[in-house]
Amino acid sequence: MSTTTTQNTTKDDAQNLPVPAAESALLTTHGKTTIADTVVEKVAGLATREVSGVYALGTGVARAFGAVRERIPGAKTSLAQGVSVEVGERQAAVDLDIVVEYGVEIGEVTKAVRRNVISAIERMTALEVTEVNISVGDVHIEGDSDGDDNSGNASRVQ
Amino acid sequence: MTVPEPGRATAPVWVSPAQQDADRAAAIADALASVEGVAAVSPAGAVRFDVRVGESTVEVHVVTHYGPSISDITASVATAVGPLLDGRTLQVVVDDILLPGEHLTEQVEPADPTP
Repeated sequence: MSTTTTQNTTKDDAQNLPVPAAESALLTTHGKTTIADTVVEKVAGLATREVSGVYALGTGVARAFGAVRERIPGAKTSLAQGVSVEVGERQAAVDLDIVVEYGVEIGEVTKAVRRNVISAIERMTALEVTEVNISVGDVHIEGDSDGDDNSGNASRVQ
Repeated sequence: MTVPEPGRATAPVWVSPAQQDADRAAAIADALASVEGVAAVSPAGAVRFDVRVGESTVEVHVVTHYGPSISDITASVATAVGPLLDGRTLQVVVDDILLPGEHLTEQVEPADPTP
């Protein structure tokens, strides 16, 4: 059985968050800089995986597809898995689906994820992050492998 | 080809606007190649910079490397291509970001610069 916890926190509510980036960094008198969603998704995905206590990103279906994709020669894990963003000219909003390790305090993990994601995006892209919504879709228990097809057939006795 | 006599005025070579834009785009692409932190990309997947010269704007599509601030990189881009804009507004579109160990081998879908 999976545990689901959803937290929606706007930047005004969050504590100890970085100062918003300068609003004019991407819109100058000399021109405009447009940042694709993919860029923000990758930065957010990488920043999320850096946080201790995060086991994986993505919903169950996304992780299943990701596991299949990883078995394809030459393919690699998508860092944007479990990350969806909305990017404007100056601001970005991020939605994350994560799986946490069993035993961690989920509130602390999500707070750390939120802080790390906001910091990384604002530092790299100069976009102001208005909100980071985190959905904890599952808890990973050591030894509980989703991809082990033989786990249910293993004999308990000799 | 006839060689004009010394001291005699010759008619200037007419270059079509389309050719001027193409030349300008090529020059900007060359200038972009010298900017640190950006990689070339085009919708066709070829390794060249996607530069679109319009009447009032120049739109350049780039891929940046993970790490440096994108605003710093675009400032470097503006410095490099600024003399070639001829009064046009520069619009930098960051289509993708290359993470450590990641190489530009896949086709990148260009982002829509309109908000």
